[in-house]
Amino acid sequence: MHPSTANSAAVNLRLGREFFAGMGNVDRDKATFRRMCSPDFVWENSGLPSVQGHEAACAMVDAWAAQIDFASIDIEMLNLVADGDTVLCERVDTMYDSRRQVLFTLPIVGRLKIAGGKIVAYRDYFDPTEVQRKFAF
Amino acid sequence: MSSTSTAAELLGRYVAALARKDIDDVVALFADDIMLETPCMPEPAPRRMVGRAQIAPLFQSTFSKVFKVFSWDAIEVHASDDPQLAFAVGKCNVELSDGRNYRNDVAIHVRVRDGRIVMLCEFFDTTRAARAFEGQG
Repeated sequence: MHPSTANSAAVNLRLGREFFAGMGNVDRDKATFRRMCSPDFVWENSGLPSVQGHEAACAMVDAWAAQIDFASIDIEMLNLVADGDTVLCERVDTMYDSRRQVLFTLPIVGRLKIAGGKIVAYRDYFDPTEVQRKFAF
Repeated sequence: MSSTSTAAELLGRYVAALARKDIDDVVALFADDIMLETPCMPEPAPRRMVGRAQIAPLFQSTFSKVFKVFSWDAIEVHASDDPQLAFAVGKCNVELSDGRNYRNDVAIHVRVRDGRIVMLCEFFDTTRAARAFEGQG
């Protein structure tokens, strides 16, 4: 690996770690999107509509809160690696409602693309079956 | 095959062999005790299988009977600081044996030991796979 690429990967790894550490509840998730993602970033989730931009991403988080009472999330990070401008992770996300009842527990592989110190693309791969069922897609 | 091959090298060979539909080359990358995890596999198919002898027939059957043409629309292989762990993300494009087209987004990660893949985990969109394989038996 070229030294500058390795350096970039180290910086991006820290960004990825900070991004997922910034998640926790509806307000924190939205603040983290605004702080760490580019204004036109793309957020894609398996089996769900893709959104682009801070406002659309925050609106999706608000929609989860309104439709399925999503309130908070715990992230168990199993692996987090960086390769150039790409950060990849293997994790288990547990989402809770406002009474701290589990909505979903999802094994996930996530990918971040980073440019200029901001996340420009965020993609999660997971089994969306239970999520779609809750949202009645 | 070198016993010091990194995960990224082996994962690169794996995705290339799939694109050639060369299942002998695919299976040659597997350790005897490989674990295949497919957390997004539509039920009732198993989401975990162990052992090359168990897993090889699944690949041979799928690529000879179900997939007429298999290609990657895009595939990126990413190394990590851990030479035993690598990720790939991409989009597969399949012509099924009944002539229908099946496309999906895929995330793969592998762990290797002594130049062989000991863990292969594939994520894809469950709902697209379920639609594609309905009635395929």
